[in-house]
Amino acid sequence: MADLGKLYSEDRKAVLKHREWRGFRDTMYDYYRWLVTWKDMIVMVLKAPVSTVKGLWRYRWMASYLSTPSFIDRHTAGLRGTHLRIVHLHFNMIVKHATGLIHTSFVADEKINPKNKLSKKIVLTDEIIPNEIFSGFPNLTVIPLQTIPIFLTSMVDQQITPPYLEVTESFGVPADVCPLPSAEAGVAIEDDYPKMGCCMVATNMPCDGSVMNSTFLDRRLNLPVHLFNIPLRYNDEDVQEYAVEEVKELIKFIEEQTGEKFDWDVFFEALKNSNKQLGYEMEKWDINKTDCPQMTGAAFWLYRIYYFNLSGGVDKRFLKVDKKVNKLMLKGYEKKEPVSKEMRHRAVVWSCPANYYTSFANWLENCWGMNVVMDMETMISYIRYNTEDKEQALKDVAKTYQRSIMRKHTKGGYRNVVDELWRIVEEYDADTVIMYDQISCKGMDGLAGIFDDQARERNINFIWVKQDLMDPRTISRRDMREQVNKYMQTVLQEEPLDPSLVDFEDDLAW
Amino acid sequence: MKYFGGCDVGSTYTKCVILDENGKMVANVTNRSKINPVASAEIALGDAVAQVSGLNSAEELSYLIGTGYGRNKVPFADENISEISCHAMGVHVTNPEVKAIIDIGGQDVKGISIDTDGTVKNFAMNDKCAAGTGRFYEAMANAFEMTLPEFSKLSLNAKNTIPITAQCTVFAESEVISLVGEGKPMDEIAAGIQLAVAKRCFVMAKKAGATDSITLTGGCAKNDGLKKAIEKVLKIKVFELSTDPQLMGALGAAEYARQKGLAK
Amino acid sequence: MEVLFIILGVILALFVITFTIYFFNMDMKLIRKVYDLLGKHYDTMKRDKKL
Repeated sequence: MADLGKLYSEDRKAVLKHREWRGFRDTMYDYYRWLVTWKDMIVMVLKAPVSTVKGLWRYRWMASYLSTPSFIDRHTAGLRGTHLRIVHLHFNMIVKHATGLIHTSFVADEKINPKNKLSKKIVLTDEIIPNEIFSGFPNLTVIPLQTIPIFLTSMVDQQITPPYLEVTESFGVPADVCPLPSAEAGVAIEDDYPKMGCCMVATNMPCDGSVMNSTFLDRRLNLPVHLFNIPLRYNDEDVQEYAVEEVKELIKFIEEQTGEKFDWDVFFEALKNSNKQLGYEMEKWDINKTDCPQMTGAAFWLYRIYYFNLSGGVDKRFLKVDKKVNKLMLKGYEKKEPVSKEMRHRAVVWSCPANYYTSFANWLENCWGMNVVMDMETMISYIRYNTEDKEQALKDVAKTYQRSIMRKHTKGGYRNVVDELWRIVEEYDADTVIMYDQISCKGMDGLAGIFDDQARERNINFIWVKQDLMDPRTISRRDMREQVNKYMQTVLQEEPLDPSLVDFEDDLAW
Repeated sequence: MKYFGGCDVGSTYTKCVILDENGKMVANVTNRSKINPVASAEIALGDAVAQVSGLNSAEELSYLIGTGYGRNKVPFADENISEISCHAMGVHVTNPEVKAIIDIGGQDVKGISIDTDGTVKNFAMNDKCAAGTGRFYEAMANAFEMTLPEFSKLSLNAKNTIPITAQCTVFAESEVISLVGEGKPMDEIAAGIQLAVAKRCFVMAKKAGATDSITLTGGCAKNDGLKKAIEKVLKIKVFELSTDPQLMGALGAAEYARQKGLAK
Repeated sequence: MEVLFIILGVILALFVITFTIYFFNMDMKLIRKVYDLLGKHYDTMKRDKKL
């Protein structure tokens, strides 16, 4: 596993000179999964070859998806055994689902297929709105607008956001606005969203930045838009009535726009699946609390936020994957299989991770033996839904939506982010916190001193890592690594597990 | 006699210190940095070696440690150690009572808390913005048409403080020029500048967990007006170091070299 | 029997070719070149930026 850094090309593009030799069995498994990834991508093309090629020619973001195998390589670097298999299963499911979304988007895109009938059966939503409520409209296709063009792409390819950010800035939006809404607005300005849909559901999640970019989306899409408002003070009972009313208004809007009727039976079925999914998820968490965790790093939160937002109990393939994964995890735990070569530190990652460096936790593990056993984004809502009473089910869904990504911990009072962190640190027996400091976000700025003071009281290694969410130019991946390197070398005075990973250039990489 | 070297390649100045095996400083150099950090290190080392009668070249040093700002390392050194660690060690060997440092370099500001053995307990740094650093002071001294030593003493007798509101070095310079143009007392403007920098230092110090027994290092430590402003903001006395505070990084590197060289 | 050998031969050949591509990362090296070329195309595309 050593010398992983020497596999990168020296031209700053960090294309692997060759893939890892992981021993015969693990290399053959990794090869098999590589074939599966390419199979899924080729099948997507073959289902609609003309539309897909037109889409590739038309949309800058589609070129990024060609590098999907590289995206998976970054997240499986250094992995062996059960850990390798679990991560592959998760990523392969994301690829399967995402290729389906891309295919549907291109088929429905009126710029590519002007007279297609699918477009008007599509409801566009803001990517942050979880899918549960839309499951009640089985005859409609619901597509989260920004996921494929920019949110997921920015994880696959760090180069995709700067062109869109520049375009937004040229429209007069200040450069210090959060890159997430800024990039989404840029895609709208560049006319790089597929043209489809009969209506759009916007939201105030995760923050006011969303409200900003809604203006651009509204003007570009030129569709009826419904603003779905989610309360901030989600622990307060007195906002719940309002929250449920918002959900009901959302249902009403879709019924009016599409002529479809909300199907409670299908909705309850989806909620049951979501509950099952949550059961599997929490089993994974339980194993990670032990001294023998089986999956550490980014796959945890990436997979979690993906199915949380895009499945919402609808796509049962996620359940099948989790059933397999949990079987593997339990087997690995019983055999006391080590999750990595050397686990020197158990870390909790807190605050929003950088889209442009989703594999940062993988680097922490390989370079410094720092295994991320839990993180903030995995800890989004874990409410079990009532699947019999309509009013209670809507209440549960409303509460879930208030606890979604980039929302649950950054809103509703400092206890949700400060006290919650120390609870997780204790539960997962962590000795280190990697605290992301997203420099364009004011959400947690006021708490910096409190975090520092409380970390000192608890004698926890507290490593601040500045990053700029989706803009790799401000603070590069290398800069992020350097912040950890400085702490590890200066405060903890440790030698790296893999010195070749300490410093390398990858600013031109995907 | 064995000799041990420490070379600190900063963004603005390159410093070199040579210690003998007893830890006595036998040479020290402070040169303006060139654009090429390796050349800066070679020149500074050469100048330092020339001060030691028992040395003819840098190769004769028993151990050499390099350190520096950002990726300015010394590739021909036996080892490179982070400048944060070197500053902490340099201050520790100069005065073991000191428990915290505010280091104000040419382009960055650091807060460092020191453990009992001279290693680093925690640190915080701002290296994304030059406001409140040596570059900032150079710009201010230029605006006042003074040398840095002259500017550093200007605020000491000010009766009042005129606050500087601009956060950015560039805009602060414009603001200062406007104030001077309006005929505001120069010493009071200078006091405002020192207070602005002191507040930034306060933030770094707090983040690093520094609470008392604090000192200043880096070139800006020689700024008397800043020292007074920091004492006012932090409400504690700032220790004076018996050795040039600008040499702390190089001294720490040389001390690490001495420890590692003697242990070999 | 002969057909079986041919089939096995084809499978073996496919395995060798695909494994070589996989291990030497030839797929991503090629994609990188395609990606860089496509980037130039996207930079020069005419766009409707009127909102």
